Amino acid sequence: MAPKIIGQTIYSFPNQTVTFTIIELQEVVLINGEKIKNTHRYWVPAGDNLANAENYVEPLTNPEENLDADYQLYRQQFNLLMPQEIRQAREALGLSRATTALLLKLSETQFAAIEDDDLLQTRKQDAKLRLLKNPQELRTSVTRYQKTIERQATRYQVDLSDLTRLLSSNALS
Amino acid sequence: MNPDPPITKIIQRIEHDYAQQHLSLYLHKKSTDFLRSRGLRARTVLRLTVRQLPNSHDYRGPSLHHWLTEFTVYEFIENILDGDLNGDMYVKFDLSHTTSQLESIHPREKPLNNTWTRY
Repeated sequence: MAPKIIGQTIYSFPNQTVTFTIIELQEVVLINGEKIKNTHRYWVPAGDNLANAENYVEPLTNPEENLDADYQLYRQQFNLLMPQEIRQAREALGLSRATTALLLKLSETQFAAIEDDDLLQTRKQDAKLRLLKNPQELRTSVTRYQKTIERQATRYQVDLSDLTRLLSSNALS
Repeated sequence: MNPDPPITKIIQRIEHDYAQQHLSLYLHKKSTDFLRSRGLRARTVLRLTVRQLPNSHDYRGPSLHHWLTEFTVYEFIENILDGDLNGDMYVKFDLSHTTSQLESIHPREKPLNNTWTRY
């Protein structure tokens, strides 16, 4: 699809002012292996070929504008949990990030990145994260695999006191 | 003519600019297509690349920016093992006297040759 010219803007670099043409075009992009169709806005240095995607620069005033729009659409399209929902669900269960990551079979770094909105979860990861919103199912899973979880906790030096507290209380009932 | 500053000075400069929030993003579509494919945010990747920079990697530069005349370019091949950003990454920083910017981040595409220097 040919880019649509939206206008021009002037951006100041040190000792150099550059005019950019602002374009908009609809693109099909891949996010975590899934195709998403969305409208993107790019800046192209004035005079450069607008048909050549190698000249496309993310808007300098908000370089994450297109990524934000795509991730929002991806979340809506696949009904993914929002980072704050994940955090709230975890905190409501009184679980640390380390324990939660262990229970959900995610790395702690990965879980933290998802919860901090640094990383968009895949659909497969979202299915795991949804356990946090279903305490009964989580408890059933934890009870079933308790020995394995304890072994892994020892191996990765994760303190499971929050889990013990959780399982022995009525928090999940 | 002044000799080129050693690469450690350049890395310190990039780290300093990042800490002072003087390191901006000038990302081409190619880089964001890569980020998107992994569900990554640009700010996250910027943090990771700057954090990894002092470790031993390969670099090339300085070279002149092809049209931003105040900027010199330093390219790095960073070996990043961070789960979501795993492997050899091509990272390009542009430095002016007062600011710097990340211009490229994507997986390495070509094998390293003798234009690269290990540090």
